[in-house]
Amino acid sequence: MWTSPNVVQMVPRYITVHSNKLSFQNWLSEHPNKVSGSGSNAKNEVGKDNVIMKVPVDVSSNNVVIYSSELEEKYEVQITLLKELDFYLEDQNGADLDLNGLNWSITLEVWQLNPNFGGDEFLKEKFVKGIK
Amino acid sequence: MCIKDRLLYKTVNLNSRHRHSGTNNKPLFKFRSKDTFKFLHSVRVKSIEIPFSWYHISSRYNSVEITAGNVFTVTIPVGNYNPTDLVTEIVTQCNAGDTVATWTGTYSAVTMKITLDRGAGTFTMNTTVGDFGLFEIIGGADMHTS
Repeated sequence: MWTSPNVVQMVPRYITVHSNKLSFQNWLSEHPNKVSGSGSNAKNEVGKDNVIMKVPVDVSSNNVVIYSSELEEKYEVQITLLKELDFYLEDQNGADLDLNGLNWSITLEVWQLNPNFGGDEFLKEKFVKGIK
Repeated sequence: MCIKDRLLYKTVNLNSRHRHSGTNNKPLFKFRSKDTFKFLHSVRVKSIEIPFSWYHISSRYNSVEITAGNVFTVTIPVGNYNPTDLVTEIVTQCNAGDTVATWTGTYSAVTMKITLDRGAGTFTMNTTVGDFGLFEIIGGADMHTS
């Protein structure tokens, strides 16, 4: 007779949202919702700089996972020109999340320099003074 | 004037239905030239809405090889299960694959653990063979011999 040493995991604890275009350079060190680093899988995810959000799964199937960030913090990105955006979803073990044909959405607040101020100084501040 | 005083933001809502290419799981969005963001500074994720339409028991997590006299693989049909239904399916598969013994199984809502019993016989879940995701789902840890 065998009894499982661990509890049964019937639902994933969280989903990670990835983007190759958006690489939050201060996400891993400062984001309060970062992967904790506990467990071998989580340890792997800490090293992925394209993880932009970790979304807790707090509903059962056939419902919608809704995550609203109450944090006002913005995360600086490593690019200055945004023409396109890519995303992909993974479960807590790094496997692709197959939504079986349903769609999902994400709402972003994209911060940029006011064009009225010009960009030369902005670029200097961002890249020469060491943000990147 | 510091740089923060010179920033403005736009709220962008992206739905995978309106992707330019890719799939709904891996969408790629392209902005029209007039909507391209120049002098990008930072991004804040305001909200995400993801339908729980995936199968927790997917093809990655639905099988485990068992040695119980003969060797057979338990493969659970993909879908979402409650723990009791999952145990029932595992036991059904074990009884189909095991040529000798009769299996039983239970799930304890108190401990949230699964118990599998091969009658008088022993068995091993071969977690080093193939994809043993199911072993993790049911609370396995390391290779087990009953």
